[in-house]
Amino acid sequence: MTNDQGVPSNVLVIEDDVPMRRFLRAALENEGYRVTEAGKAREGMTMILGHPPDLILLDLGLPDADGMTVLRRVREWSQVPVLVLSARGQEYDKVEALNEGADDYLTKPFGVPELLARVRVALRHSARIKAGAGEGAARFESGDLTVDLGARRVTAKGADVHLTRTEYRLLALFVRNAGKVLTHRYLLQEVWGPGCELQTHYPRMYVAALRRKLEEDPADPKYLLTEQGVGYRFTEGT
Amino acid sequence: MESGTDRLLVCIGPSPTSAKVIRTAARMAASLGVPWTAASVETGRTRALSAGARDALLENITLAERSGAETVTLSGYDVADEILAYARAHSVGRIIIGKSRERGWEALVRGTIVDRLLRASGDIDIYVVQGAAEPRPAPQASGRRRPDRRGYLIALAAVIAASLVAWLLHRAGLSEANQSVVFILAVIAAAIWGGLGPGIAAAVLSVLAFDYFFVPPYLTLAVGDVQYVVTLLVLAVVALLVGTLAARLRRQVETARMRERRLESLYRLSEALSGASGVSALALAAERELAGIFESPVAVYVPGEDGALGLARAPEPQSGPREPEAAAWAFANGMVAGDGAGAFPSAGALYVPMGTAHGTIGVLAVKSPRAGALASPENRQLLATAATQIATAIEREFLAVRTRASALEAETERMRSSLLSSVSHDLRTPLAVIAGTTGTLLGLGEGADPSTRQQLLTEVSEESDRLARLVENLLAMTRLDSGRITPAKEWFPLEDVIGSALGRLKKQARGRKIDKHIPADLPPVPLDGVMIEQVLFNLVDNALKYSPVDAPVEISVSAGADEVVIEVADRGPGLAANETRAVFEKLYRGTAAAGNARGAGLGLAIAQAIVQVHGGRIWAANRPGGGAVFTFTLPLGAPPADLGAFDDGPLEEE
Repeated sequence: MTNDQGVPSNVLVIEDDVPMRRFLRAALENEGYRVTEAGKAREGMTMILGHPPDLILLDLGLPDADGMTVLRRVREWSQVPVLVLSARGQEYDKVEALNEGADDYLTKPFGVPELLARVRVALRHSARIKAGAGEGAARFESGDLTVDLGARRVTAKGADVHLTRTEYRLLALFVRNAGKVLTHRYLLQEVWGPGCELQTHYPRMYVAALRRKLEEDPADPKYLLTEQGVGYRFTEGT
Repeated sequence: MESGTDRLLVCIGPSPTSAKVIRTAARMAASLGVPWTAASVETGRTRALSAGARDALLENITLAERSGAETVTLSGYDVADEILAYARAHSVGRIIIGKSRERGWEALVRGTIVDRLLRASGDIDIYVVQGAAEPRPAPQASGRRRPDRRGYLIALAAVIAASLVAWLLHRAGLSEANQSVVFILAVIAAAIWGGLGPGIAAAVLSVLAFDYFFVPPYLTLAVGDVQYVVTLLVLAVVALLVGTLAARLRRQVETARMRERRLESLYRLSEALSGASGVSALALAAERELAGIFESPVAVYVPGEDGALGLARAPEPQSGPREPEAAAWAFANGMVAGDGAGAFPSAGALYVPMGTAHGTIGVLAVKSPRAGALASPENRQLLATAATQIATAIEREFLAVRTRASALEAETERMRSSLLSSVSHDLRTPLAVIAGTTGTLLGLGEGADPSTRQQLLTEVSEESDRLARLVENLLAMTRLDSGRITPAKEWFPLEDVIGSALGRLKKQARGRKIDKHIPADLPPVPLDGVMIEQVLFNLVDNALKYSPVDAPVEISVSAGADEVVIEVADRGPGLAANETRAVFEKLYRGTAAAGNARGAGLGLAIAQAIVQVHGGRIWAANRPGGGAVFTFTLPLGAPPADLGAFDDGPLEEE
């Protein structure tokens, strides 16, 4: 994988477990990325400063410092995409990392296809922002679903879909962040505005409504996926 | 009650001289280093004490309490008997009593209380102390009650009536013996209705009336014939004896009645206490029962985790007594405080420490209807007994909780060790496969046949998945077992959780058909998304595992008035009759699929634990037409009023 100048993207892996690092390196290099490794938080910080990477894979449990600390320090001056690696049952940590500016997360154990998909989405997203193209595409098309943000037109299952204003705002946010997980807090802030942070059922009710209008089977969705305990992810469908 | 025969007992009464006796006893107890008890005996006579004498008695009791004595009020007919009975029952070695100044015929005939104590004391030492009156601000009445005018009127009327009847008998020509019997009747009537004094008065009056009216010469007190002297003497003795006996009977009946009332109250209290469980419920039952007896608000205080006294039950009472200092003092010193007691005498309530053999465990507070109302020995005695009953009940509750906790701990420990042995097997199997397979691949090196290599790698991948799932289940079970997990409930459309569970099951489902029947108008359900997703994941995973690949798995949802019912059904072999409960036990593995499905038998146990912490139910059954169905319910609540739909017109109108 290359960036817009035709140079392979540089991925920094900050992870203390050696076999895990080896596996990540193998999987990423096989896809054409350049990979650098750090086993500790301090080492990782030095490498980020010395040779800024295009993407960081960050383990949350590091021996010398909390991964969250690294994330906060990086976010003080850089918008480089950060993918957090964590375990199931630590939904709270994931949400906190995402709210602190992580771009996405991977739950251990994860498969190679999942890893590559997340890395691709994060890099594409950051390239768009760098190019000044704003947050995401103005048009989304996949299978039987099209969303045209310019024309404010949504079609699904072969027909025009009529949305309410809130539904549309929510869908537009998902489309602009396609592939990324969005936390409840982020959705509430962006769609409902400040003061609603505790009303976590708002997005859930609206996602349910959107699913009924957009999905073939709202109880087994293709596009609007729930990441239980974390938030929602809008995908291209599988 | 302490054991040993060293306890010291001091007898107290209303006499002002008791104060000195109490002080002597306190000094003696202190120098001997033994506990001591101050006992007052309630007889029919003491109940008839004047108000002043009652106060004096109370003051003496309070003085004894303040000096460090345990106080008891005994109840019975004979002071000496009661004291000795109590002393023997409570291993008392020494009895102290003031020098008696009893007067009257009873003291002459039977001896004073001191005499009787000395006679019957056996191996108990009796110390007789010279009491001395201490100056008191208020004048104290003597022990006897004032003549009850009504009683004496009854005596007079009885004698007059007897005289009339006797006159009629005399006119009818019957002998004097019959007439004297009528007078005896009058004495009995006067003694029963009026008490001892009127009884004696009636006896004297009867003798006089008999002499005056029926002994010749008539209408004089002179006695003409010597034989009438005997008749008069016999009548006098019989009248006095009968009168005394009748009065004593009356007193005994009264005492028995009072004791019965008290026993009944205590019995009702113990009934109420035995029917309650939990400290809060016990306190509530006691408060209700005692409030009924005393017709005044009652509260039970026990120390909280911070050591400060607080109400044993919620919520706070509106009018219950609340005087923290008095309550705290009573608790700290194990002595009665508040209204009429030695400490905090002006408080609006009486605070009685509730003690058991293991110390004071709380305070019983009774609001006083008016100052000093609770101070009577009967009430104090009743309260002390009630306090002990409540304390014992609460202590029993504490012990029960502790026993339950240790039993649970033992059970948990047992579970844990059997879990460990089972799990270590389940962990080792996939690890052995992975280690063996990868070792084989390494050994084959470049020479491996590509299809063999592919097959071996697939196996490694599958075993890793199994291992991952097992570890995840183990962790989930551990978290649930620790009991610290409470569901973080939020409002969910049920489809949301079903969808995310199915999303996680893509690999296991491998394109198998999963039918869903979900009504469109389902209300949102309060639940913990991560947990309920796990329940659905485990149930559907189970259904997939235990049913043929070409049979669909069905998920059906229906909503009742106050719960939502979720069913996961398969077309597998179903459950054996004895399995419907067993499947939810940890480590249980279905007999139906012993061969092709492997796991640690934790999935359903986890599902059950999660559903239960949500306040729902879960059960298993067989389906008509074959297969098993797992059903769980989740309680519904009043859905949130605000669904975030402000400014929500159709997009086209913007």
